Amino acid sequence: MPGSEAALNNGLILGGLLFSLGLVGFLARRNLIVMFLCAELMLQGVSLTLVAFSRFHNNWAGQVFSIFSLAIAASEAAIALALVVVLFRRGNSLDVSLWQDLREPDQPPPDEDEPPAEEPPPETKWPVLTVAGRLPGHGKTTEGEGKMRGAMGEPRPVGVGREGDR
Amino acid sequence: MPVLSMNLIAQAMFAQTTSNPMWKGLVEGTSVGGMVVRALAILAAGGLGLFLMLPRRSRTEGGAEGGRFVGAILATISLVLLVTAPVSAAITAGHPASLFWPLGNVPADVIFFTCAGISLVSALMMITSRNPVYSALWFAMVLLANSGLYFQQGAEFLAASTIIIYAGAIIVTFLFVVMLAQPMGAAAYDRTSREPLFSCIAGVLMASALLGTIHFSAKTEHATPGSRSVTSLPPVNALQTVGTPAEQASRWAIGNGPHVASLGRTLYLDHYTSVEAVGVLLLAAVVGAMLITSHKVEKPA
Amino acid sequence: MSLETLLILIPLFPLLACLIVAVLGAKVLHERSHWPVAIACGLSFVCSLALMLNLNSAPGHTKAELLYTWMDIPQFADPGAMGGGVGDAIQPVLIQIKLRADSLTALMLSMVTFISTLVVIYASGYMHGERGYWRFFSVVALFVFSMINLVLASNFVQLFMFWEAVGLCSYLLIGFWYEKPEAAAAGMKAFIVNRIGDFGFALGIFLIWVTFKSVDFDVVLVPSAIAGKDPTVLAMICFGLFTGAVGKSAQFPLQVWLPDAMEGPTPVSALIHAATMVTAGVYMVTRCTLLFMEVPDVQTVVACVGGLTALLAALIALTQTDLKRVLAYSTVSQLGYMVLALGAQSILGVTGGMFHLVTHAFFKALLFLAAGSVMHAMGGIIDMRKFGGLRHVMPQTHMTFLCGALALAGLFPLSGFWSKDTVLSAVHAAAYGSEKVEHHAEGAGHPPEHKTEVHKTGTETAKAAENHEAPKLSLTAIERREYPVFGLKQRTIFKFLYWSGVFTAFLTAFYTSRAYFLTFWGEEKIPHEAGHHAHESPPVMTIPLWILAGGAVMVGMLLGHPTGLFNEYLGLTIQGAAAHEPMNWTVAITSTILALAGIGLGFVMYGQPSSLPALFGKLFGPLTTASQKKLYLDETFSSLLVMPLKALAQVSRFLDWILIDTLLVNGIGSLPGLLLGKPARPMQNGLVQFYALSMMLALAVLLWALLLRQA
Repeated sequence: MPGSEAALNNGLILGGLLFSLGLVGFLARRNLIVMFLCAELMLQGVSLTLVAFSRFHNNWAGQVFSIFSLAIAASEAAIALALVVVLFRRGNSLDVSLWQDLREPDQPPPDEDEPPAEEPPPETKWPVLTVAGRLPGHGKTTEGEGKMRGAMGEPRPVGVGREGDR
Repeated sequence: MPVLSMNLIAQAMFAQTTSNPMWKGLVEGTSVGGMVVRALAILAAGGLGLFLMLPRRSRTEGGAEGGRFVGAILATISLVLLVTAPVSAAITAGHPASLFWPLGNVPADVIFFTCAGISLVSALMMITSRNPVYSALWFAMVLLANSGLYFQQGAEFLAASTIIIYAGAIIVTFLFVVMLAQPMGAAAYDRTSREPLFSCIAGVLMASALLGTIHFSAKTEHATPGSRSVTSLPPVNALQTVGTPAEQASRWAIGNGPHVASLGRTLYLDHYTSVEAVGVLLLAAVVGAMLITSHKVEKPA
Repeated sequence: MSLETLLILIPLFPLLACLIVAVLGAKVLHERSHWPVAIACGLSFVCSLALMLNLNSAPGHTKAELLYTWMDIPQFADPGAMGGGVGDAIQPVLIQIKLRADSLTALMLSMVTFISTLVVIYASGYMHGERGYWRFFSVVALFVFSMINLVLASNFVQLFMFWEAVGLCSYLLIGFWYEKPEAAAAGMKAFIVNRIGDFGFALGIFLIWVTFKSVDFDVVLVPSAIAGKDPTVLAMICFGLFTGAVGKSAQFPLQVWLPDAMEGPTPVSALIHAATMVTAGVYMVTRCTLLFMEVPDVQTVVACVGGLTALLAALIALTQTDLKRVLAYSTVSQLGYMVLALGAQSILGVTGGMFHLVTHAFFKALLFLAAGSVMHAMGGIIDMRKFGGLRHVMPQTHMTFLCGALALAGLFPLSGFWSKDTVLSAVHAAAYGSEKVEHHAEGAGHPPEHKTEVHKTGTETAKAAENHEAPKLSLTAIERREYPVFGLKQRTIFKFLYWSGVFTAFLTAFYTSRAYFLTFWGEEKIPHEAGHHAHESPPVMTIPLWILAGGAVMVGMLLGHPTGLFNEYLGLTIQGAAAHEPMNWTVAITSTILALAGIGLGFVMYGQPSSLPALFGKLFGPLTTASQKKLYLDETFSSLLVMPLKALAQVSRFLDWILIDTLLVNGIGSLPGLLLGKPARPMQNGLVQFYALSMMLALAVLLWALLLRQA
């Protein structure tokens, strides 16, 4: 039941695990935004711990602490995302490895694995609509031909939707 | 079963030394060292699963997907073992032997383990997802599950504000930025990881150290629930000047009166300077964020 | 105006002028930069005259004005307090910046400021349109300020300070056209050669401090302080001081810088040669007369150096074709005369040397300025072979140059005659004078108050009567030691010196007339560099020439033997100086005859077309070449001193580079980098996540360590 030693134990262990998971993510992922998400995850683990202690000791201190950390996380997110936006504008990428200016000037850049070839964007399956009515500019076209085309699954001649979405 | 297999592996490793009682106890989990080995093994299995799940290049076509699958299985096993595997039987009699303890009350157990499971799985998915949008959404899941836990732990206001602020505001901001900055498709940097092995080792070490700390403090303190009353605690800080000590003590305890009212009282009477400071901090963050982003950046040629 | 005010004003004017021109010259004054300097020098001259005339109101004819105390380190009560082994070596140091004037100072001041004023006025014409016009005048003002302070110094440290300042200004002015490599090198040469002398001077000052426990003139240069000191120490002190004088006054073997110094603008040459620089050495030796008088051996050395310098320089001057260079070597030669006189072991010699200094200042400034006027008109050409017969083109320059040349040649009754006669008389007395007339101490003991009274009250005849008793006091003022130097008795040495001096006088007359005739007589030749406007210089240049010409003609008669004013005034400070020496007719007649002979020979050889120069050139073949090559002195020094020093410097540089720089400093310095930094550097790879990983790993390990400790 809440307030018991078991609840405290569970809360602490869960907090520790979330913290560790966030840590692994922070260390391993290269996307700036994901790294910040992982940092938030670590904060969540700590919050959980604090709340568990608050319940165990039956006072507000842990919850108040958590509330403050929430506010601080909000501030941090605002600043960090602003910085991410600026960095993205500069480097046109969210890769944290782009920013290595702290390196000693005579050191070679760290061994970088050959980056995998850029994965093509997933092929989007656009719904194929049957052509209704006459095609503009093809006065001679019969309705039957139009139906034939649509049945053959040819893409629409003007790919407005796809280009625009991109 | 996996615990058994781990034991088997360990036995194989130390086959020639099984005659030694110390090694025997170590391997069979009947000594302190044995429990440590078991707990470490569970965490290591989780770490290995995590390592396999992390985005990474594979030499063979579809190898990454296969690794991901194996990793998911390993992580799941590790999660199950966290609840079920006996690791501390010999230490604290009267307590369950697994890492997570049952709360002794079925609805509470159901709520807790459901939320904890969702939280852990979502966190796992969040850090291994190749798409930052999914990561953010998985994080929202973590937040929801954590809010459930907050509710259970008597922190209703915090649960609500976590959902509202985190899931409602911060995650949405993240998603905005992701949409602004993310190229179509998975970027190269989202499909590789930096030092995944060392990161997982660091994570396992950290988790084991934290769990060990929790475990040993539980062993050494033998606290009983509720034995620590508010009055036995020292004053929280010197700013607690509002009201007599008795008033402070009653204000300080959870459960004396309506939840939000009590929390508000303690926030604005005992922590008013901190509240002010945080307010200033938020203002500064807003102004700073505007200043940073409004600065025109020239792209390098 | 009180004496104190005068004392402060005299150096203050040039200092102010220097600062004004330095600050405003480039932006505001431009071509008006000479005004502050000329006015300041003129005012200083007026103040100096006033000081000279009013100095008798001061007790002992000496006035000192304390400006401030520079150093005051008291004697330590407990000598051991400074640590073991120091003992009684700790002496009090009291150095006061004090302006001190006596008759010697007043004479020098008047001479310096007078010549400087004229040179500045002349230079405003000569330097017209020159780039760095304001820079020139600013440094000249600083030069005059330094020289005034050098003369006004009240202790050896102050003297040394401005001694160096004078050297610095000479460097700046000789190298005025610093873009010209020769000028820059000449400036450097002057500076470095002077350093050699300054080294000895500094050693002398240290010895004075050690011996007398003070460096103040009023403490050191009094008979009671000198009496009883170890003669060897005194000899070393005098030798050190004389080394300084050798450097500054361009005596053999450090005379090499002075001829090169004419790479600077001509007014600077006039200033250096006549008034401000080279006179410093002679002045300093004169100032220390009492010390030098105590050590006749050093005086003999002084006289030998002077005589040798005079002869060598005169020999070199014989064949130089560059007008300014002839004058430069004649300066070296005349300085040799002065030093010879200072070493003549008598007060007569000292006053004679000073007198020659003053008269020489007039006619050498005149000669240089006149040569500058010629150079100005000839478009920068100063080679006497390229021009000639200028007496109609430049009549005023011609007349004034003639005055200066005759004075330099020592023709009666021009000033050079009187001073050179005094110098030679002093040497003659040292060589042939009667043995030990009276002891120096009696002359020194003559109370100065008595002298002052004489100066104030005496009419001309009374003075003569008073002083008639005195002459014998100083004729041969000291007991002459008769012990051999290089197997020669001192008397013998002085006989050599006397006759070489007489021969030098003949040479002087000859080379002076040679320069004069080559320049102004003969067929009219004008180099094409001069263009069509070879003309007389503007009045701003000729008026100073006329004034100086007047000085060169009159100063000897007005101040010298006929009136005795110079000696009488100087005698107020240099005790034992006699207003009236009996005329030494032998010397006077000999030198006059030789001067006339020299001029006559010069006229015969160069005053008209003649084959004699070629004949002489053939007759003295190698000697002529040697003279043209400056007796190979530069080459000798170069191979004997400069080359070995350069080699040593190269070796040192190499050692410093290999051993100190590369091996010790950089080698040891690079060790930590190699051993610690280099392995650790790859850690600093700039990846944020790598840093975070190391932090977290370390944190986990620490936590584990804590856990294991607890378990």
